Amino acid sequence: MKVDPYEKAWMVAAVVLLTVFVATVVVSATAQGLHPPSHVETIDPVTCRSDPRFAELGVFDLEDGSVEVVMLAQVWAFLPGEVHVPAGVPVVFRMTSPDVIHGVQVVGTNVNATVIPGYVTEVVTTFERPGEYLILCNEYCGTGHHVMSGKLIVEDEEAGS
Amino acid sequence: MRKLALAHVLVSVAAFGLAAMMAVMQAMSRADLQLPARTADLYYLSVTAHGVLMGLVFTTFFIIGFGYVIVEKVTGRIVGKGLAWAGFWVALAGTLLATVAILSGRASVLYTFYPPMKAHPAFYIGAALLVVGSWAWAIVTLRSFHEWRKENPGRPAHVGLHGMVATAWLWLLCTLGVAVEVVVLLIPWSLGWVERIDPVLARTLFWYFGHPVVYFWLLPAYVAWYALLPRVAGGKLFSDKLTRMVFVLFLILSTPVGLHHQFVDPGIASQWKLFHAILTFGILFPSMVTAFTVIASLELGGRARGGRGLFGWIFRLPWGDPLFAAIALAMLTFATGGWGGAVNAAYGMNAMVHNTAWVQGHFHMTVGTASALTFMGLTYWLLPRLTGRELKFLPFAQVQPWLWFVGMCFFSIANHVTGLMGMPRRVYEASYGGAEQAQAWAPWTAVSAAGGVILFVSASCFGLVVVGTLLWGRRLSELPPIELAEPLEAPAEEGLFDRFGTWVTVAVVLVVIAYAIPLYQLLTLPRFGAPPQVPF
Amino acid sequence: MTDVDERNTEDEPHPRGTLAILALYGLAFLLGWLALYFGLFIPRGSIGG
Repeated sequence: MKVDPYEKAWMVAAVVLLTVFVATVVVSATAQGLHPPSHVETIDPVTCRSDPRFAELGVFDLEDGSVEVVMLAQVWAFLPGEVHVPAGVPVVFRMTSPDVIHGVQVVGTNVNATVIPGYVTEVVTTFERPGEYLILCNEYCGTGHHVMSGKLIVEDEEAGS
Repeated sequence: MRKLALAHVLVSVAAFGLAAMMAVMQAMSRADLQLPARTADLYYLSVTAHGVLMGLVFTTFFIIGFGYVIVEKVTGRIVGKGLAWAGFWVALAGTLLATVAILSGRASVLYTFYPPMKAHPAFYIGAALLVVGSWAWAIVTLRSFHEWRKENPGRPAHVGLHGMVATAWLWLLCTLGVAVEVVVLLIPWSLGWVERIDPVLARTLFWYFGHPVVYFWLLPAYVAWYALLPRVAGGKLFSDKLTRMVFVLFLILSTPVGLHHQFVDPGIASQWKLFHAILTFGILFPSMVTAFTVIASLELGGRARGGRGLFGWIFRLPWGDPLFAAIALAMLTFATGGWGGAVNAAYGMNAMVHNTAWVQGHFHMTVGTASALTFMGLTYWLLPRLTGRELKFLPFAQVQPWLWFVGMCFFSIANHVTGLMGMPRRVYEASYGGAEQAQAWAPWTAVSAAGGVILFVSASCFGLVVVGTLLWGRRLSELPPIELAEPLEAPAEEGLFDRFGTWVTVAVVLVVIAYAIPLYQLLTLPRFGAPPQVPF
Repeated sequence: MTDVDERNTEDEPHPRGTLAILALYGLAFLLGWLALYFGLFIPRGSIGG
């Protein structure tokens, strides 16, 4: 196939460009464990409120020093609506929905995941900067979708707050 | 053929008009402007109507109409006109059914209609009929191509037809997913015959369709860029062979990438998401090649018109021609949209932008401009050729693409920025009870609303030209000719990229590799399903 | 003058304007993407689960 040398040069450049992107993404994933939330676990959405995994909502300290946040996303609120977590410590969000699909997003961070009835969502991150963050629903869930929100307070442990 | 194509184009313009009215209200609502009768229910109804009418009705009907024009131009006829008309009426009936369901407020589920949120069954049945009707077009296109090939053995089809055939195959392959979702899962469940539905399975089937559908929107626009634009610009198609390669690459790569819409979903293991991410970067390649081939074709035209220097030829191009201006600005916008796509595709980084306003900024540059503005330009080009009437209000047609471009810059840039600041898409208003982080978005939502108003003015110009031409356009003594671009170097015989049988097989194999294992893993989970909900 | 014009199209069949435009575009594409990845995404914290 005869291709103009300039066009050939551009095609090679495009391949290099795309290779850089793929390499960046793959290295982040394998070396640093940067993955989008992809937890695989199912639950009955009709009985999830009494399921032992979600019977008690809130923030729990785990033995390894990390923190687990157990939340429900439902029309049109997060339960609990306000969450306090320490800065600099791995935080595991475990969430599910008893009704429709929701999205959980902590504004200004990389916490962004779909919450789907019948499935358990897990998001793992570490908040480095103390402060108050907006938690909001980013997947359309009905008439009150735009009011579905909550608060995440990241506390500076060393300051003793 | 003229009546058939015109019927499709007119339905598409009508859908566009209704959807544009919905859009201007939404843009102002987000900026919290108090409009009369503004309610959250109406907002979500109108987002649903806008998405369905623009994304599924305007595009599909326009592509079918334009497709028939190209097929007849190259092959000399349409094989199966009866089937083509039957498809039109079925698709139109489905469109009306779904539209009534949406406007009555019983289907405010957005154009992605994720269960377990449940719409009225008429919405799903209407959507299914629209898809079934469009299959008639795909079959007619492939039959016409097949008959022409039998009569012209070994002769490569013009790239315009080659692109349309790739589009038809792509459409048949990808609509399979949404057809199964709607017919097997959603319709029985919405009628109450089945109690529960698995939302992840439904989403996976939807996005099996939902990503290739963007190439269904894009490929016919590429057909115009490759097969018409060089002619309008006074140049020639720079590389015939690479054009064929591009269409084939889209055919094989556009379906096995759908999981990139589900990067942050639970229930799907990360390694399959990564696999789809890598293929997604692969599909940027044919668009990169397109950028070169099309711009080089224009450079040939600009230089033939006396343009000199490194960039002087750009100013010699026919910017006053509505089709040329529309496509040139569509391409310029798509250059930015493509970059945003590379950000979305970036696996972990997707968590930064997923379902934020960034996404609506992104696809208004791609489908909302690369495809839609090209289709508007093509409508100006098609109308005289289909109706025998001269374009009315030409200055409006000349200025309209520029207004669209400027409005879309305001709208899309503002949404990209607010998306990075964390504002979600598809919200009635974004104040979140005065939260500090949300207050920072407000100035940008005003910019976005201003863009929405400019876009609406542009859409009104478009509507005025179409209606004006139909009602008052001067009758021409003869139909203007349909002229396709000549390649710089015409291939003597069919080559590797003309073997559609082989490439469709490759496409199917890739789809099986990309989806078989994740679907198997999903289906073997202890799944409970979810009962229907109607929170609107 | 016509000679020069003809030479422009005959002796220079390569689309140098196109290559120049795309070289600039490719560079902006790369730098913009890397800026978002390492300048915005990575500082926002780890992500997994």
